Amino acid sequence: MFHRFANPTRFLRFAAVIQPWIAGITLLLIGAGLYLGLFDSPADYQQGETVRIMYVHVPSAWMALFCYSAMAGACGVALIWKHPLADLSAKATAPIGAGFTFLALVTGSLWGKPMWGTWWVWDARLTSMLVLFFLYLGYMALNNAFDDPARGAKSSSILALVGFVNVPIIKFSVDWWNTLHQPASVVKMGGPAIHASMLTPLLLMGVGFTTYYLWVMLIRIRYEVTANKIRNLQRRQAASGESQP
Amino acid sequence: MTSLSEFLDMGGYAHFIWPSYAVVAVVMVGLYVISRRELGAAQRDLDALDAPEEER
Repeated sequence: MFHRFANPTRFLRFAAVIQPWIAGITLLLIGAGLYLGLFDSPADYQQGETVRIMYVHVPSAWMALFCYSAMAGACGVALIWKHPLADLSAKATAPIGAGFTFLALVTGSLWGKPMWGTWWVWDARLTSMLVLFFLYLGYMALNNAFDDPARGAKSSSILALVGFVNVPIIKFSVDWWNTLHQPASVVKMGGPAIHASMLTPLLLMGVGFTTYYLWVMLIRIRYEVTANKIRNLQRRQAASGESQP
Repeated sequence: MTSLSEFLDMGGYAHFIWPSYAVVAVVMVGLYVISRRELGAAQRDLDALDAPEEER
């Protein structure tokens, strides 16, 4: 059933139908998450009100990893099966993932200053997140570095796949090394170590950020498909122009 | 009015909490707006390439 949506034209029609629904769901989820996170959840007994930074910091960091995994997966599909939509969705995902990584770094810094007393430390979690940010930038730069889009897509896909080793390093960095960053408290053995009044807004924001990613990715894929059509048309017009005397 | 200013003060951490929410809003809204604009511009270019062929 997957290949039914693998045809770009059919995909565009499908995207146009689901896009307003995804937009509505995104606004509802993030709206509810913001309300609960800012007004209807308690301050932390140790961190005070700064714990509210968690509701944007943690979902941003989740999405930074999620987008990279999706991008690397799409790059793998593109390299093995040469599917055009896989390349386009990887390309569409990269700026969104880079944006979330940037947000995780900045909000983390704004949380670190009052709680750790420093904006930045070169510990394993923070450094590997910074590497992730540069991997996104490297992917985007390499993708655009060639005149032939196919070569750009291939080289940048290889970079994205090699860079995927960084994802488990980020995930487990808080367990493998002694870092300032606290270990996971939601996805862990024995269930979340966080009260429902804080877990609910966190999960609402997490799901809302995920649907936001789908929403903007659909727009960006539609852009990439349109840009491809323009390139093909221009090439055809240039070719027919040359053949005329 | 004290409750509003108390809320905005965020227990003295307003300087860290509100910029966090602001930067998230700016990046997420900005990414959406840029993506929308790029799509709109590309669609206009495509229409312009498609349309004038008969007129010429």
